[in-house]
Amino acid sequence: MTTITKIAAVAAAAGALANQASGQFVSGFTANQDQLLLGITSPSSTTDLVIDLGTATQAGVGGGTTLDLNLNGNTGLTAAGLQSEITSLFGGMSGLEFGVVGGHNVNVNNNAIYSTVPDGSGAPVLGAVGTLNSAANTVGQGLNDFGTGNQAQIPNNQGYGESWGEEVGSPTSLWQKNGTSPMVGTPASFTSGYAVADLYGKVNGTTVEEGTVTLGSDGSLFFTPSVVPEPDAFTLAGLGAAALLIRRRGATRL
Amino acid sequence: MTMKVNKIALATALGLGSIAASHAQSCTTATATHIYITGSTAFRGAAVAAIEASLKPGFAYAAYKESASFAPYANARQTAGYANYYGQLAADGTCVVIKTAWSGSEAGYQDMVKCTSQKESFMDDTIGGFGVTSIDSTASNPNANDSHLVDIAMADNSQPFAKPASRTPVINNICRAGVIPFVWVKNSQSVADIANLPGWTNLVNVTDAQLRVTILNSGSKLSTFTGIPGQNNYVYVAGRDNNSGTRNNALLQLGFPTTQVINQTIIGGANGAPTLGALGNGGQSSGGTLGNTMLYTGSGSAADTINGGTGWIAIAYMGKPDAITRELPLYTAGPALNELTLDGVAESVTAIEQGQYSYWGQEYCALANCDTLTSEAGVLWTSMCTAFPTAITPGLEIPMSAMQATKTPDSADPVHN
Repeated sequence: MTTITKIAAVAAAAGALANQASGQFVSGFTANQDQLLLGITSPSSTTDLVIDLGTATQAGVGGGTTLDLNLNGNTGLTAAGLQSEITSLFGGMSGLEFGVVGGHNVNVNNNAIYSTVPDGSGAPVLGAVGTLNSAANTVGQGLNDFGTGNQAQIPNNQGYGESWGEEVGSPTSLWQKNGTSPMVGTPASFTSGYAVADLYGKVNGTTVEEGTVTLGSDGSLFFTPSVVPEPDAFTLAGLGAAALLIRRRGATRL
Repeated sequence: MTMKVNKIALATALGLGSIAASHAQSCTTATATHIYITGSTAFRGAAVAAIEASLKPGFAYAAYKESASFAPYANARQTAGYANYYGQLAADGTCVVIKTAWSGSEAGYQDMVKCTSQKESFMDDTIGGFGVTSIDSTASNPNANDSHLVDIAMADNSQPFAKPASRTPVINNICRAGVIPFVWVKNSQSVADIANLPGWTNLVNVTDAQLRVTILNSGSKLSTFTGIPGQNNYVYVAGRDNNSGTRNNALLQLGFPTTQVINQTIIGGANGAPTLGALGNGGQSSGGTLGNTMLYTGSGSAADTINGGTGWIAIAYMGKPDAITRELPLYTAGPALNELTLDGVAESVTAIEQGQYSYWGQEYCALANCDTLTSEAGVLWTSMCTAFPTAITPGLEIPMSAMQATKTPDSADPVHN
């Protein structure tokens, strides 16, 4: 699915999901539960924003529909609230880096790791799952140490070792020593539109694209599972054809 | 005349002596100043010696949770988990009750930065007393009813490497007490276990890279450590909880922050039938308990409940004082722990002093900001800091003055001066 198609699908879903009931967002991070962490930072910031989106399943992985992660309660914020927090931390939505990671590691046959990459860049290299999972868990621990509810603003220059930048977001981080960077940039002038990241999962050794994470300049945040596009496209085409047929028949009657 | 003067001098001396004696006898638990100490379990042997060096002779103590085997320490109470001391400070003669409850470095830092609110459990004043015969016991500590704020804490790492919540406020009075060596050990095995898992004998060395992978993942196959193909039994790390300075130094030595979330096991079961706890970030709260579980034989024949199969090996990071009492030649009650070389270097005082061996920490003694230097806790802290160089036990701790290498900061590799 192309970026344009993904954004179109998200934009279409946004209207359909307008009245979606809020879910229950996670309060506090629990290691090894596949909880997905959204990290947002900028090159000049001394603070990283980390939001626990809930488990992969709660965030829509493996689901059948696009999920509005604000309306669904995953972020714990409205789109305007998320945009406001990002703006207050980083001065705006432009020139940011964001990514999503998470996973679990029980044993060599029961583990998973999730990571975003820039849209269309292909599957990431994901090395030792336990090592990557440790990086994600340590950021999650930082969320618990520095945050309230499901989010935290964690200083990345104090040597605490629990910030997004120290564990995941920088080239010297534990994550990036053992896997592809999960970071995706927003445009230098990001005042409209969307920035798209592909989310991959490496589950028990097999890596697959799970879907896309779409961050809007207005603070909107969606997850679209990979299984959605083709059926939806067919469905939309079918619905369109049916509508045309009905209209023509109606017109005939008139 | 001379005789008369001598008589007067003798009388004066006797008089002063009787005054001192009566002063000592006048000490009561009700009126004595109480001072509370927590922190590092690994360095408690030297801390206890420093406390005793700060007291006048004739003090009494009640020490519990001592190790049955305490050599090369001079006294069993240097291994105690809990103790009450009843005596007078050597510096000013003040009657004091000094209570210790060794709970780990991080717990000690928490006690320091929360000195107005964080209370810990100590044995109450009914355990031992002034003029009461001292008690040495390996039994659990009784009457831990004295819940109190803490005055002094020992820590195996500096405050900037403590938990985030313990880094502020900065502790005003803190001294370096010495160097505490740490080691990696492998668990005990019976002859039958070794027959079932002969590769256990090939595990003699660990490297930083092997440890990093093993402590973050689902263990590592034995071949990773030995280089011998086909040794597919898993090696797991057993360790301490995140209140431990031993753990902090293990993580720093491996290049991680002390906050790194790890994947280690907690050995359960019993000697002869050990079990593997699910991998996670938890661990044992004391080095002694960790050491005792590492002494359980049977893992060579036990089910690997993490990755499947039969036979597993545990390796653990421990303070040298906790390890040495469970190794040959001191430990003879059964198969002993086996120390591993680290990056090909065996732990020794000389190897540490010269910077050749890198798994060690600088020990700190902190006075809570709630206490001033002129308070009795401050007087004791000053005396302890003075006493540490001679309070250490050779081979178990190292005085700062003997070090030819430094780690600056704690996360650094040792550099020869």
